[in-house]
Order: sequence, then structure tokens, then C-alpha cells
Amino acid sequence: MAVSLVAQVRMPGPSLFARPVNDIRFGCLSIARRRHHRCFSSTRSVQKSSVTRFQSADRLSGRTCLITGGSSGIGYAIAERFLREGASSIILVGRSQKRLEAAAADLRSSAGEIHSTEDTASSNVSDRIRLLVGDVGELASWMRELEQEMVRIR
Amino acid sequence: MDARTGTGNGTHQIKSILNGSSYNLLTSIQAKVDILVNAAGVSFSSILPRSEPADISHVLRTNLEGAMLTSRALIRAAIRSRVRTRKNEDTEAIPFSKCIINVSSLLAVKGGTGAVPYAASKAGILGLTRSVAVEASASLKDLIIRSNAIVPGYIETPMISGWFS
Repeated sequence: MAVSLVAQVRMPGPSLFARPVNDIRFGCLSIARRRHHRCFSSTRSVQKSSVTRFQSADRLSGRTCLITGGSSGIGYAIAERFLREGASSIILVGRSQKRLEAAAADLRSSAGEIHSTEDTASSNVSDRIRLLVGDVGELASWMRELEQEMVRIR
Repeated sequence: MDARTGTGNGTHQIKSILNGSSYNLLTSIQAKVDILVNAAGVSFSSILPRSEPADISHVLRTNLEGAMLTSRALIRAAIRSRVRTRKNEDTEAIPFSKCIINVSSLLAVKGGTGAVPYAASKAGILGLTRSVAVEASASLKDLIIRSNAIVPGYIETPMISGWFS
């Protein structure tokens, strides 16, 4: 049986992120600069120093994605990217309804910037975003509800 | 509590489950989740002797146990969907494989100062990721559930800027 490996993200070139070289708080995480290999996706995205435009490949059309911590940071970035890749539905889970709403509004406006030949990618983004207000830290108390959110009912 | 809220140009469906508040299940917004991203994480900056046990538990519960419970929910939901599919005998396309993406951290593999509970929880994520992958493939013969982890370094996010403030 196939075993999934832990995937290590290769960081883009040093121009994109400022890494603390000798940060005493984090020990000696990196002393010397190393050559970083670019992380290529199977489609054509060129890493630049700002958000790049690329055509949605609709690789995720028909898929539904639930993202905990999707209001900000890495979770939000994943939500944004998945929407661009044509995900049919994104469910954001977070503790604060306000922050979830703000994130959804941002996702809607950034989705409008997609250059895509497909109709589905940028239309009705609101319908593709759902918000679930709940504390993952207290998940034991609402496991059943979460499960029900994940199951399809015909 | 279940509501539609308007924000500017559009509305979003919102379900709220907080502190055991009453829960209304709307069948119309059921969704079959096939990708789960565990990106919820909390952290606080403090050395271990000065860390409160309650804060330590909170970090472990949110980061590690939360990811574990969401993974459990996804797998259980997948099993339930599978049973339902068999009974219906629809001529339907093969469902997508399930995919779990966990967000770990460089601190899981490389020690650092000021984030011991966080580092421990993120290291736990790696063990969770691997075992879920192996166990799901060994125990669920007709379901494909993949499990992978991202190990980010310094990513400019609100959490990181909190550390360096």
C-alpha cells in the first residue's frame, strides 16, 4: 500500500522572505544561504516577488475543501489558491465570525482578479464560500456536527 | 444559530457552533468534503518554565488534537458516505479521493526558543500525518485517503509577526 510522505516545502529565493539568520530565539536555524530550488507545479506558474497571475487550470473543480484556520495566514492563502484552482466549495472554519466574514470578502475580491477562460472560476464566488464558526480547540464537544458537515446527503 | 449575513456585494452562509449553542442542521447546505486542510494553530511566546499549564494544554489541544479530530471526522464521514453510496447503487462517477493536508512547522524538526508547546504540537502533526496515511490505507480497502503535511519555515503571517513584535 502506498504510504504518503511528509512533503517538505522548498522555500523560494531569498528575495521573497526575509529569514533571520542568527536569531537567538530560534537557535541556529540557518547560518549560510543555500541555493533554493523553485517549487514547480505541474502547470505554469512563475515565482515572482508579488502575486502572479496565472490561468486557473480548474484542477480542483468539483472538489469541496474544509480549511480550519482559514481566516488568516497560511489557511487563508490556501483558500485563495484553491478558489483560483476552481474548487467548487470552500468551507472556512474559525472562532471569530467577524474575521471569517472579512476573509470571505477578501476572497471574493481577489477571486474577481482571476484571469480565466473558464466561466466557473470567477462566477458566484459567494456561493462557493461557506463559513463555519467553531473553536477547533474545543472540537471534542461538536464532533458530531463537524462530521455531519462533511457528509453528503442526497 | 444559523444565518445568512450580508457583507457588501454578497452573502455567505454561516453556521455557528460555539459553546454548545443550539445547532440547526440545514440539509440544503450539506457538502461532501474531500479535502481537509488543518491550518488552525495557536501559539504563545514564552519559555517553558514561565508557561502556564493551561496555555500549554490549549496549544496542544488546538494544534494537535484539533487536527486529529478533524481527520477523524473526515474519515468517519467518508465511511458513512461509502455505505450510503453502496446502498443507492447510483451510476455515479467514482468519488474523489480524500485528502488531508496538515500544516506543521520547521520547529517540529528543528529546535527553537520560546515555542516549546507549539513545536511539540507541530512535531505531533508529523506523526499524525504518517499514521493516518498508513492506517487509512491498511484499514479502509475501498477508500482512498491521502495524508500529507506542509513544513513551513518563516512565512509572513499574523502569527509570525506576533512572534517578532
